[in-house]
This record gives sequence, C-alpha cells and structure tokens, in this order.
Amino acid sequence: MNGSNGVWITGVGLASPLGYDLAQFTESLLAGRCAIQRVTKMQIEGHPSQIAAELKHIPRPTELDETFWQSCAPLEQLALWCVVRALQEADLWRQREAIRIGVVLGLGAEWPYFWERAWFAWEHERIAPHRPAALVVQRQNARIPQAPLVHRICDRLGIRGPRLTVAAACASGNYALGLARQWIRSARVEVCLAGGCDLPVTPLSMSCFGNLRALSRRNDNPQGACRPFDRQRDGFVMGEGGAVFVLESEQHARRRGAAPLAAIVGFGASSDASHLVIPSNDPHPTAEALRRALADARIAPDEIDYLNAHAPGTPAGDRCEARVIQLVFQEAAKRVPVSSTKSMTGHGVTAASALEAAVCIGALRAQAIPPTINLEDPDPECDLCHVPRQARPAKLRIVASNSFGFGGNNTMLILRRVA
Amino acid sequence: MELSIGIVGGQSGAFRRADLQRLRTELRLQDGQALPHAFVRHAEDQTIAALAVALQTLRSLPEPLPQADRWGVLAAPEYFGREATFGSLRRYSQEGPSAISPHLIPNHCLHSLAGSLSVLLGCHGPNYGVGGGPNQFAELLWAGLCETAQGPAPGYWLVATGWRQVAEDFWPATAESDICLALALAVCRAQDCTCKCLATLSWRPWPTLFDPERSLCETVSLDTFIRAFHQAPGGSSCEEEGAVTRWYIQEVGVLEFRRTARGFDQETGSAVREVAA
Repeated sequence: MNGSNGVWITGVGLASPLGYDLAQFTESLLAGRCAIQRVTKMQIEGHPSQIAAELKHIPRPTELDETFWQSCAPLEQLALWCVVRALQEADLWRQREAIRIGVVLGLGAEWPYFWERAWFAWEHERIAPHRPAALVVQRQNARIPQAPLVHRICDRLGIRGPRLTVAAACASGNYALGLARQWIRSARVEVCLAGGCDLPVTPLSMSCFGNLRALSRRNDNPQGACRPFDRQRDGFVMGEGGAVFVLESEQHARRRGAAPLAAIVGFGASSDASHLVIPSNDPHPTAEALRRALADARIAPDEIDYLNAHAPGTPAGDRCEARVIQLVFQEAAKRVPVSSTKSMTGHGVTAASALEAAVCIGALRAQAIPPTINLEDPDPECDLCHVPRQARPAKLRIVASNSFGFGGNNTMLILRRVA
Repeated sequence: MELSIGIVGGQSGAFRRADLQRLRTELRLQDGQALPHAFVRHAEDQTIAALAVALQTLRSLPEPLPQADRWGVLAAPEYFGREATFGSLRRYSQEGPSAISPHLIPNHCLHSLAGSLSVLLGCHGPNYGVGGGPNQFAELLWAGLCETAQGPAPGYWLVATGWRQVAEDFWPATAESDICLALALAVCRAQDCTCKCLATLSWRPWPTLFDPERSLCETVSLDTFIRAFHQAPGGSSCEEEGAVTRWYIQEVGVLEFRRTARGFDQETGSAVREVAA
C-alpha cells in the first residue's frame, strides 16, 4: 500500500438531484433512490430520449450575495456552490486567501454551454421581444463570458494558486483528481480543489447523444430506464451535478487538525487510441489504466473491497468494461463487489467521475455498497460480482472507481479509508 | 521545487481556411495512409491544424521518438467547436433535434483534439484537453510540465491551437483570410530522454504567494511562445536574454524557455517555421 506522500481528501462540496451534501447523497444512493424523470428544463418533444436526472435547483452559499448569484449562469453557480462548500467543509474558507490553493476543474463543455445559452436567449429575444420582466435575469446571465470559468471563480473567491480546466470527456473528474494529487505530492500547492461539474441537459447534447443512439429511449419508464449490466439495457440516461474535493497532504491536514474523508492512493490513465466514441474491442489498453492505478496504490486487485464501475448502461460500454475487469482482476472478479450508481444518478458526463468519487467516499464512510438498481437480468457477458437492486453492508477499506470517456479515455481512481 | 522538461521536437504552423480544407485530403499519416474518411468529414479545423504540425514534427525528427506508442497527448485549443456549435444551433432552431449530427460532441468538444491525436498518432498514454478559452495557453505549459515530470508516459505531445483573430460577435463570422495558429511540442523528462533535447522548458514558483497587484505579470500566449521559438522579438509579455525567454505568470510562477546549443535550426530538421502563413 502506498503510504508515502499521502494525499487526503478533507472536504467535499457537491450538488446532485440526490442531495446537496455527502450525507444526503449517500443516504439516497443506499436507499436505492433514482433521480431520473421526464425532462422539464427544456422542450423535450421530438427528442429520442426525453428523460434525465436533472439538477433543478442550485443553492446559493450565504457568503455570496444575491445580485452576484443571479448574474451567474447555472453552470457557474454549480461550480461556485461546490467550491465554497468544499472549502467550508474542510474548514479552509476563512484562510483561502492566505494559502496557495490550486484548482483543477473538469469542465468538458464550458464554452458550448455558454454559446448554447446565449443562442437561445438571443432567439427568444428575437421571437418574443416583449417578454415578462422575470426573464430579464435569464437574459443577463446568458451572456458569453470574457474569461474562463475557473478563472472567474478563483478571482471571485480570492483563490490565488494555479488553476486548470481539464476535459477528458466522462473521465474528466478522475483526471482532475489525479492531477491535483500530483500537485500536492510535489508541493506545488498546499491545498488543491479538484472535481468536475456539468449540466448537460441542453437541446444540443440531448439531440447529439440521442442521435448517436447512446441514450435510453425508455421514455415511458424513467425510473427503470438506466439498467447497467442488465440484459435489457438500451443506453445511458443523462444526469447533472458536480462535486469538488479539497485535497491536501496528510502532514498538512494533520498539522491543522483536519479530519480526512479518505486518502487518494492510486490513479491510472490510458488511451485506447482506437476510436473517438466506440470502446476498443481490445481490453488491453483499458486494462493498462487499471493496472497503473493498482501499481500506484501498490495493491493487488483482490484488495479492492468495492469497485464503482463506469458502466453507463450502453450495450457495448458495459460489456467492454466487464471484459476489462475480468482481465485485470482475474479470479478476484468473482469476489470484488461491483455496482454502477449511474442507474440512480444518471450519467453526469464531465461530472460523472467526480460524483462517483463522492459515491466511493460515501460508501467508505457508511461501510455499505450502493446498488445497481434495475439490474434484474444480468447480462451473461457482464459476469461480475454485482450488487443488484439493494445496498449491501460491507467492511470497506479500499474502494475504486472506473471512468472511461470519448477520445478513448480510461481511468481508475483508488481511495482508502483513513481510520 | 523547480520543474524542467526537455523539448525534443516541435513545429508551428499558420493555416488559412483553404489550407485546412486542402490538408483534410492531402495529409498523410506516418504510415503513408490518408486520413480516415469519418475524420476528414467531421474533424474541427483546429484538429487538422494540430495534426499537420504534429506530423511535421515527427517527420523532422532525426530519430523516432522512443516508445512513441506509450506517449500521452495534452491539447489546448481555443474556442474549440464554436462554428460547429452555432451551425448546429441554427439547424436545431430550424429543423429540430433530428438535424443535429451525432458527431458534434465527439469531434467538437474540448477533449476531442487530444483524443483525435491519440487515435491518429497511436498514443496509448493519457490524453486530455486543457483550457479551451481565451489566454489559457499558459495552462497547457503548466499542465504539460507537471504531467511530463510526474506522469506515467515516457513523453507527451503538447499541442495548442487558436485563431489569430477571434470574432467578438455573438456567433462566428468566418473569413477566408482567418489564420489558425498551431503548435506541437514533443516533450519528455529531460533526465530520462534518449533523444537530444533541442530546448528546455522549466518552471519555478514565486517565492511567496502571488501578489495580485504585481504589474510584471502577463500571461504567455500561443503567439508569443511561437515568436520565442522563431527567435523573434516576443513583445511586452516576456523577458528575453540571449537564448532564454521568460514569462511571469501570475498564479503559477516563472516559465523559462531555453534553447540548447543545438537549437532549432534547419540543419537539425527541427526548425520551427510558418507552414502556410
């Protein structure tokens, strides 16, 4: 086990349709609650998939004033909520301007998000120039920003360390955490905020993923639509949310008396170099990411007590991942419990891996494994040690999270409980 | 702690739209193959420009990159996918969801450039996009330094692209005279690399926490970095001293580009030049 250069997570800020803090989020997952419903945020008629786990409300941290808050687009509000809450949870809010804090945010579609908002605001203006006054706010926060979101957030909050936007599609959050860990271990920053945020329920992304036939079309059964590893799965369901974590060295955390939520002990990444969208039929490049993470953590596969799978519920994606897990875990694949919480949260796209890191931390703290709901008829090609339908109590010390993405991206993050 | 990496090859280019259109069909991969049909059809212009300079770099190297299939790719395009996004929005408004291409997100989001290069160059190391907005080139250099020094791959491609003039208008108006800049650097840990380094890129932190009032700081841009490559005057944002160019980046510290004695010149075949300006 990798004990040197320990990097602890000492705070988390998150927003998901299943909760606005780690305790609420974990409780929802362990109860098997599903956030997927018919889409209400946009006109959904005519779309192949009309269901999603939408984030309908983003709370305002009391430290930020209402006028400023209303001037921010929802994606910015989401990132601000997560960053402020993470700093508060780690008890670093007051010191944030006095220490070197870095920020690595997984934001895969920041600019398309703002372009899309600006377009529809402009179009609405053009079609209905005499709109109700209530919509004026919407128009104001639909402007295309001049500066990147990560810079605006840091400048607004007085965070003065290096900042970075990373995009590895659905693996962005894991990359952000992996990079932040590097920065901490090499003392480039004292503290690093890392995670991912996404609000992908928009006309363009619902159309694009829908036309790609990647989304479930079970529009008449939203709660039963996302079925990772199930024989009847027909695609993923879009989800929204974000999670940002506070990372610091074990020594730094101990010095200031901070309580750890978990330690990051391993990270691995690789590329298929095969296709931009379709997972490679060859499991070896993906297996390399998992092996790198295990080697980084200095553990054997059977030391993992729970694996949060990427498994979005697409026919090809789940099958390929199962094959990779079988290849790397060998005999242990029959014993290591695996679940996909996307069955409840939907697929948060750029935010997915950050949210799933929060799932893993919640599982470690609750000593229980969240289930894959809707897994009623396991696909024989995905023969793993599933946790179907109901949460399971378990003694968890080390947990891992797989996240893969477009561009042939493969990642695994490994977390350890800190007593 | 100071960080330093070696640059073993690099090329820059400046491309007009017509050049990029032509390159879609004329570019040849390392094995001589034409670009895959789907790529030719759906790739963003900046991806074509990036691929052109990366391939040019490979061709100009005196010897093949060591373990090239294990390299990673970090790419920092600017306003990537803007034209395709606005084109799609227009179609969505006129024709509805069925008019949206399923290739839009795979090919026109921030991750796409790094992913495309990873596929086309056969790189199995990590690949991800960085920045994506205006003036985020420094993020690529910073991330590239950190990743190369500590990452799992034996080397990395650091790739940046951007239009020289970005339309300030709400949606992009394109002109034939628009110029797309592209830079590809092949970098590796200086101490591990079996190739000769043509230059080094290093970073050192501010001695104390950055003071936001410090007037010295101005971010490094793609344009000024390419000028340093060309050994042309870099402008006000950098400090030059012989073979060394320094940028002071407010949140990061000091970035230093230092040519080695071997340098970038025509003789080595690794000269940085404008491909089609």
